[in-house]
Order: sequence, then C-alpha cells, then structure tokens
Amino acid sequence: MSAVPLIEIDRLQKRFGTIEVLKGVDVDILEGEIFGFLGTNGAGKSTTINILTNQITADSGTIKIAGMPASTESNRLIGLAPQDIALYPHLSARENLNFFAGVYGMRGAARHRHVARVLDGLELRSVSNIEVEKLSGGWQRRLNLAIALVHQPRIAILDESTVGMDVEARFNMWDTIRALKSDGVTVVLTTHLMDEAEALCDRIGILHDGRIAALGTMDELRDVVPAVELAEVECSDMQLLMRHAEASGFATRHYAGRLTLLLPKQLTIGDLIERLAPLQIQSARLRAISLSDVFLEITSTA
Amino acid sequence: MAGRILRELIHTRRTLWFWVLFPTLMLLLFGSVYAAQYGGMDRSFTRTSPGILIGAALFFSCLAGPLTLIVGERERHTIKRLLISPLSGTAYFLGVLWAHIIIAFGQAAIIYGITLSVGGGFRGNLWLGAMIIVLSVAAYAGIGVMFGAFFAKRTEDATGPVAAVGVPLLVLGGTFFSSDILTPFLLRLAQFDPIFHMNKAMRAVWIDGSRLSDVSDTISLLALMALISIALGAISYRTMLRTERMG
Repeated sequence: MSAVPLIEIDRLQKRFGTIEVLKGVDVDILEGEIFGFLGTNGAGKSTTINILTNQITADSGTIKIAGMPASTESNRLIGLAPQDIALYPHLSARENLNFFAGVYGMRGAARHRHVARVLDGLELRSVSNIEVEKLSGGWQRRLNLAIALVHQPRIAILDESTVGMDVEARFNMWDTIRALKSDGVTVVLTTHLMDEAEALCDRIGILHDGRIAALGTMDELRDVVPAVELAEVECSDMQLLMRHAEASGFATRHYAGRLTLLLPKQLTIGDLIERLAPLQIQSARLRAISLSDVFLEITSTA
Repeated sequence: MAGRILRELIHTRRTLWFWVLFPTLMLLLFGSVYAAQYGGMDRSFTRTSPGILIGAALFFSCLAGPLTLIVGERERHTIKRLLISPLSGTAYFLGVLWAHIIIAFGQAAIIYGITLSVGGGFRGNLWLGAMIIVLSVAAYAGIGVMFGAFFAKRTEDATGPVAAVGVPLLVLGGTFFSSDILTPFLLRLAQFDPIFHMNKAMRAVWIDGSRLSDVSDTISLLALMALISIALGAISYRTMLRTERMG
C-alpha cells in the first residue's frame, strides 16, 4: 500500500430534489489499500459510488481518479461488482466473461488470456462452461466479481459483494479480496457487515448524514468510542444497573440492544464486580471495542 | 453484442422455436386458405410468403426481441455494468440490429424453404428483397428498443404494447390479406403504418418481380423509416441509461 491517493474526493455535494444526500464528502483512497465505505442506508454510499463511476454528476466538489476527473476514461480504471448479481443467466461463466472482456475492447488472444486469468484467479475454471442460472449463489457472486476484474482494473469497487453467501463462501471471497490487494488492486468495499470490514479493510470511512463522520484504520477508529474497554453486564434490574453505573462514573450505551458500560481504563472482571457490588450482577464480560461499537457510536450520536 | 444475443437465444431455444413455429403455422394456414382463390398451393404460398415474413416473422422477432432484450438488461441488472463500460449506445444498437438481421434471414430461409417445397418461390431480385428485409429489421428494432426503454419495466409489461399496438398495425398493414380489400379510409390510414409499406415493397419485389426503379419511392420511404427508427432507438437507449443512472 502506498501513501499516494489514487482516488481523491473533495467536498462532494449532491442533492436530489429537497434531499441533500452528500453534504461535503472528503476522503482520499490510497493506491493499493482496501478501503471500506460504511454507512447506514441512505447515508450516501451509493451516491458517492455513482459519482465515482461517472453515472451521476456532483452538484459541487471534485473527484479525481488517478489524477483524472470521473469520466468514461477514468471508468476504464474501475471494475464494479454491483450488489445485485448482474450476469446473463443463459450464458456460461466463460461466455459472460468473454462478452464483458469484449465490451472493454479485448479481442482474440488478449481476451482469451484475460478470461483465463480471472477464471484461474477466482477458481472458476471448474464451472466455467456451466450456464450461470445453474450455478449456486456463491459461484454467481464469485463470477459477479470476476467480470468486474476481467479488464484488469486498477480499482475494484465491491458493493456488498458477500451478501447472501454462506460462511465458507464468504471466507473464500475474503481471500480473493486479499489476493486482489496483493496484486496491487485498490479495493473499495461497501458493506453492512462489520466483521467483514474489520477483517479486510486497511482503512474505513464511515458515512453518516452525508459526511465522512470517521475515517482511519481500525485502531484509529476505536478512539471514537470514549473508552479503553467495554463491559457487558446483566443484572436483574437493568434500570438500577444503569443508574448505578452512571453514578459510579461509567458512561453507558445500548450497543446491539445490550447495556454496555464504557470503561475509561483497563479493569479486571474482579474490579468491575467490586464496583457494582451492591447490585445483583448475573453476568459480566469485558471485551474490546469493535467496529460495530464505533459505527453505533457515530450513527447514534453524530 | 450480436454474438451474445444469438448465443443466449441458442442456449434458451424456446424463443427461437416460437419465432420459427409462429410464421410457419401462419404460412401453412394462410397458404392453404388462399389456395383455391389463387389457383393452387404454389401460387398461394408464393403470394402469402412476403406478408408472413415481414409481418408474422419479423414483427415478433425483430420488434418484440429487442424490446425484451432491453427489459432483460434491466431485470438482470446487467445494465449497471453496461452503464460504466465503454460500450456506446450506438454500438449497443448496432449489435442488436446485426443479431436480428441474422435471425431475420434465418426466418426468411425457413419461410421460403416451405414455399419452395410446395412448388412456390419468389420472382424478383434476391438482393433487393434482402435490402427490404434489412430495412424492415432496422425499423422494427428501433421501435422495439424504444418501447423497451420507455414503456416496459418488466418482461410481463412487454407483451402489452406488442399486442395492443402491434397486432392492429399488422392487420392494417396487410400482413394476412391483401390491402386491396381495405376501404378507402382504412387505406389512407394504412399509409401511416410502416408495416403496410414493408409489405407493399416486399410483395412488389418478390411476387411481381419489380425492380429498384419501380419501387424506389417505397424503398426510400422504408429507408427513411429505418433511419428515424434507428435514431429513436439510439436516443431511447441513451435516455434509458440516464434514467437508470438517476436510480
């Protein structure tokens, strides 16, 4: 991963009618990194991707891709794997790849070589001659990605690429995404799956309310939550627990429906139980701050 | 593009079968119905074939085909890939056109194969007839793309416009019977029906043996219709892309 930005997004604004979807998105995506775009539905992820791929124009602000403004020319550098599986179901995997390679101007031996490369790279060779409609969802997702890569783009935009995959297929897809990075491809990943973003992304940008509300590596993002550790505590009287915890100097949150105490410094379970001694504690668990916590912290307070 | 369209049709087979079956049945039916009137099966099939080719065969393959193709791109989300690809609207439309010209000549071979098998045939210039087929395909394909882009969001929406608008145009255009039986009012109305002019040109060339100089007016009109239709198709495709981009 280099420190050179391949995609520069500067004060991007977009309004649809009365709704201001992007209110000034600023972010640089570095060459060779896996960058995660997170955000709630309607946060502006798709709009940003659509501007990036020159499908819509911004009202103001700029996007530069390898120094070029978003255009038909810059689109040649981009491979997009859309969230919906976008394949011709009556053609085989190989025929789909051949068609899209042709759309990008590849002919003859060059086309054959590029199709063979992605078939091998994504381990699709065993199903290459099977009609897409007869393939499982996992294979279809894999082919959906393969088509985005057939013209050897410098940037791969993967929009919810693992939706609907079983665990094994998802982990296989993660390996493929890591392999892309090893090959020098810059990956822009949009996902709702926090574990996926946490496991794959070098840096993550959280879009909220039309702006990048947080940006950085996972370690940097953890600073968003004002705690060193978190404690999930269960008690017969949760209201009492909350009042007592706050009175004892702990901030509290409801992360994923569970009352969570924000610990300002490292504590042991013993320390924690001691502090909450007057209460009927049923269980207590210390855990590290996850991306989900960061995301909820931002989207519920920003 | 054309290769992909043809490969898909060959893989699915069903659509191709219908495009063969429908004109074949119509030819057998109308060829037999008019046998007594025209004085024999050979003469009847010779006189019926042009209308069946232009109306029954090309109408459904070359108008309904591009229409369902466009709707299919939308339904299968492949439009999203095409949107950011370097493929231009013109290249897309030319691919659609080329694929359907190949289909049209396949249908022509089947229809005239049947006609030849009962002793009929065609009289006029082969290449002039081929030119009328190409112009007709272009006119149909442009309208098909336009309908697909503007009026049909899903596959099930596609049958409505084809049936509601297309079938009356087929009848008025003299596909299944000679336009001689039309009343003066309907005949005046038929002048606005592109299918009427396609049938008229095809009959003049392959039944009456007319030469280019004899049908130059009709051919010019067909060429104009084809150009307008291609322009409409290309504009519709571009408009559809813009609409799709806006989400």
